[in-house]
Amino acid sequence: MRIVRDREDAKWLPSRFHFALFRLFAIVRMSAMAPRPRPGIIVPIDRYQSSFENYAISIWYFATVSCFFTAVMPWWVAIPLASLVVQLPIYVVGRGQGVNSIIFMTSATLAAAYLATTQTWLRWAAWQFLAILALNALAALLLLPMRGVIRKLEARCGL
Amino acid sequence: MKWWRRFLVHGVFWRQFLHWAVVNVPIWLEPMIIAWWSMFFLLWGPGRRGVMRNLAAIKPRSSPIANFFRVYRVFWNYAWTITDNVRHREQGILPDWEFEGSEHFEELQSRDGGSIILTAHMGSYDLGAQLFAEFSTRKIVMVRAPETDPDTRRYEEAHLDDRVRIGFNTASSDLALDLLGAIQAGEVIAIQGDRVTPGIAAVETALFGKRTLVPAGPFALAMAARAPIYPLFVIRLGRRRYKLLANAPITVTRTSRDRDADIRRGVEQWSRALETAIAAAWFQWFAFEPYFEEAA
Repeated sequence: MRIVRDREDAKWLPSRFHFALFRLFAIVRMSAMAPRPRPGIIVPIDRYQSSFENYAISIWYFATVSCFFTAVMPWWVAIPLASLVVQLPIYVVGRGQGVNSIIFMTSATLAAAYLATTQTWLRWAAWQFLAILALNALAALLLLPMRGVIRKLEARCGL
Repeated sequence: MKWWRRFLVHGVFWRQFLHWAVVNVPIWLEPMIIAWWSMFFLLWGPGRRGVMRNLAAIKPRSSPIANFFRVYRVFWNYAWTITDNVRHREQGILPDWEFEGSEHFEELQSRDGGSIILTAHMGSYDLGAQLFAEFSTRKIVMVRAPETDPDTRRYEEAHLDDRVRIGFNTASSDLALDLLGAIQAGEVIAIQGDRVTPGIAAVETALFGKRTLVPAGPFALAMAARAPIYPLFVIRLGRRRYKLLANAPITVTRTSRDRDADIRRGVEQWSRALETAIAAAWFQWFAFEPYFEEAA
């Protein structure tokens, strides 16, 4: 595992983020930052290392799926039930993080695509989900020519 | 052995489930899954009540309702630390680390002879030891209480990290001589000093105004090996973020014929360091039984 020592700004290395939107944000943030030495810290490089990103995605996904559940039940049943039902594919499929991740995103996208066509308030929840997915895809495209920038930022931290 | 015992809270099922979950749960969904399972484990009555009683002693003016929510915070932190520990073991992923009292930590690493790390069931003890093994040239021996459930014990022994040597402090073992030899060979011994395993020699002390017992072994070992004890705590700061807090060393030297009085002095210093660490990070002191009952 790659690690950076004694550098606070290394926390914003794009390689510590997974989703394209967050990686893009990290590039902007780190490019605008001066190197910030801080003795006595160890910063490992793993694409799931960012707390901000993982909490944000987890809450966003759960909140959206809970909204989707309210299409068929009252909200006070939907929230606790969604927290349980959302986990079921992991226990049923159990094919590793990558496959499970695809299953989660695909099933929520299909649900969003269906709910976006309805006339209830849920279409707004569905559209925001689809819009964020589209934005992420756009960010992924923008990142394609930016590999050199990411390498430069890594080199700045001694990687 | 009855089949359903594996599903009890100390049963092997939950260890296997955790190992399975670490490689199967999408990481971006982990905060939600951990929040759910932390709530599920609130159903574990003895553990919940144990933490609540400890919190009532740590925070004497707190209300039971506030402490109930604090128990959730303890369980939440516990779930994250055991997950981080398994993730490091299975996938080699390290969390971010910060050091406080790094001068003591440097001293521990650079001194000529062996030494003792005294720590508590706080943050991730295992992860701290693995970090030490990864970044230090010194060998580390972890002393820990064996699991109460035989299946769980076998499972954990089969999944031990080979970078760290483990010694189990059972009453019948001749571990003390091994540890003395290890210190004399310049190795570092890491022991948890906040809980006493039945059958192990203990010393009475006070923690948050209540009498409790701490293991006598580390202090006797420090005296016999003339090695310093470094109180060291691994504190979880957030998701995949830990702090290693190293305190000034405690020296336990024979000053008189009264060996017990010399040991008690060391125990007193350790108790104050432990009390300070727990007061600052009560939400990650993973003592699921009332700490003061052992001395009662």
